[in-house]
Amino acid sequence: MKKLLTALQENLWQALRLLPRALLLGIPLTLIYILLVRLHNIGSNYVLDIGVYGTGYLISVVGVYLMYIIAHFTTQWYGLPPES
Amino acid sequence: MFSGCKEGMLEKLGGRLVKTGVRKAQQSVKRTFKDFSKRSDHEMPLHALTLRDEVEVIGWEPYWLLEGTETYEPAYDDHLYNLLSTLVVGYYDINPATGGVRDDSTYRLLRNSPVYQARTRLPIANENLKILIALSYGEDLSTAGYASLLDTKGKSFKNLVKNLCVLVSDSNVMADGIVVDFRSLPKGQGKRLAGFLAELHSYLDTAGGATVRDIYLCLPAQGLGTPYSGKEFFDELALAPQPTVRKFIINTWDHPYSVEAPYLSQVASAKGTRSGLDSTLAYYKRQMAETFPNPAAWLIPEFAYMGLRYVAANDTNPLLGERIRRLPLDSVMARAVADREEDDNACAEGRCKTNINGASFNAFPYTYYFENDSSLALKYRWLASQGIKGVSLYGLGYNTRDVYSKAQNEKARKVVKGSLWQVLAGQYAAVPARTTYPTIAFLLMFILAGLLMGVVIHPEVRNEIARKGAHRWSFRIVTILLVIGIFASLILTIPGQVAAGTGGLLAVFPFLRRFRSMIKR
Repeated sequence: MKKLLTALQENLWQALRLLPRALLLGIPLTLIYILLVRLHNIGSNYVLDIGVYGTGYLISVVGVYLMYIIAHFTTQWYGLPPES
Repeated sequence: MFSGCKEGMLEKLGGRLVKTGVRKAQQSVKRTFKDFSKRSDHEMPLHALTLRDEVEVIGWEPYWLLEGTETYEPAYDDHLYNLLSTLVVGYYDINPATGGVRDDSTYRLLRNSPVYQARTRLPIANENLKILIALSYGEDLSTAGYASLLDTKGKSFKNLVKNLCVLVSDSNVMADGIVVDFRSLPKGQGKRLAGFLAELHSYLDTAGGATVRDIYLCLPAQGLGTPYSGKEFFDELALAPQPTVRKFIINTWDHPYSVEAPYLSQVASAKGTRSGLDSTLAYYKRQMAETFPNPAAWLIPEFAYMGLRYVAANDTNPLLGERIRRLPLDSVMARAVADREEDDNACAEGRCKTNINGASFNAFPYTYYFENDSSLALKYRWLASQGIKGVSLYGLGYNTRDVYSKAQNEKARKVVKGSLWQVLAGQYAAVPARTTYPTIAFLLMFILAGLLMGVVIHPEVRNEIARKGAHRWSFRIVTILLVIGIFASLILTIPGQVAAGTGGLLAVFPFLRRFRSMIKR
């Protein structure tokens, strides 16, 4: 139990440390997302409202976390210590 | 086995069952794929759509369509008001001598019609719907009549303003403004009309209370003999301290239909003439250029209703488009015969109807045109290409009137009626952007990046790549090409981003094995 709590604490700390990076990276990534949406909607009278931008930013931030989590598990899968 | 069963019967039955089962399974798989790949905007019901912000779609509903006649009944209950930004209800037909309405019953109808509840009637309500009252001058087209009409000093003008203020502020009407429809105004009256509009605007503004009333003005089609609206008219309008007129509605349906361009009839001028909307639009853009920056933003062309129209012209080929199959030809023939009889009778009584060239209607074989969804879509697209953001639809209730009376062909009537709104929605509605597939593709990109990052961040792998890259250019080029390829396929193979993304993920796995071996070494 204690071990788990420590691991959770450590991971939370890691997640918090990642937050500014994710928030910053979210901005250019949102633009890529909007580009994808625009290309996908060519030919229709689509409207890009604030909701689409907001969703894009949210997905970008979540995506950065997803990327780091997958990277973490990939290294574990190969039986290697994570990057120090 | 019972006696009726012959040899091989069960096998046949079994085979049939298996075949049916396989077919059913195939169908259900197909249906699942179809549902999965369905475009979300197609699933959107028309009454759930709204117009784009910058677009103005005006619908006209003259009083005779509000009360109904023998051949058709009022259709205003069925209009999709969510796809209109403005509803024009007409006509306040001025009597220039008094300033009142020529016919009192019209005034009563205008005041008490239930059409104004369009803002609140669910599910097609549109609380932002702008309601305008059309002001017209129908009967007396002489210059003298107009002179007394446009006289803003006289008693009749005061009476007109008083009546209009009562009408627009009525608790049933609650109109947002006026449409001035003096499109047959003779040449040389432009300056006086500008004065009339400015005066009317100032009265409506002060008398109507807090809301600013809008004035829309109908402009005549060019090349038809009544060009009052030259440059001096717009110069005069621009002199007013505040913008008097909000939008100009160009009359398109006076333009003749032409055999040369059946689908773009009334829009494209016939060869060597200036009879189409294209030349009228060019004319107004030229005249307004100095005083109204970006004239296209001020102009809205007005089209005739969907359905059957006829013109008397010296040609014999009825122009029916390929998608005309749902037209009930019996009704068309009945209509044609009735028209002909009516015109012949009128001529016999000495009241011959004439076309714009002065020739009598029944001097030629009649040509019937049918305005349908394909022709309207072409016309709306043409307008968009000219930078015009909107359209005015004259007589929404006319959609069904000409061919489809209530008793006839209820189904075809519904199709024709629905297709007008379909075309409008296709051109002017704000469709929410489809985001499902881009989102999945985007998330796949992160998974891809995570997998690559997981191995590439290790110093061993980086060193190995750097070492190999230093003397093996092919390795670097292949890597770069692969990355570009994955991104390009993600972005360009629309709508297959998801497939491309998944393919990208699969393509990466051999590389992961290679990286792994690098680490292990």
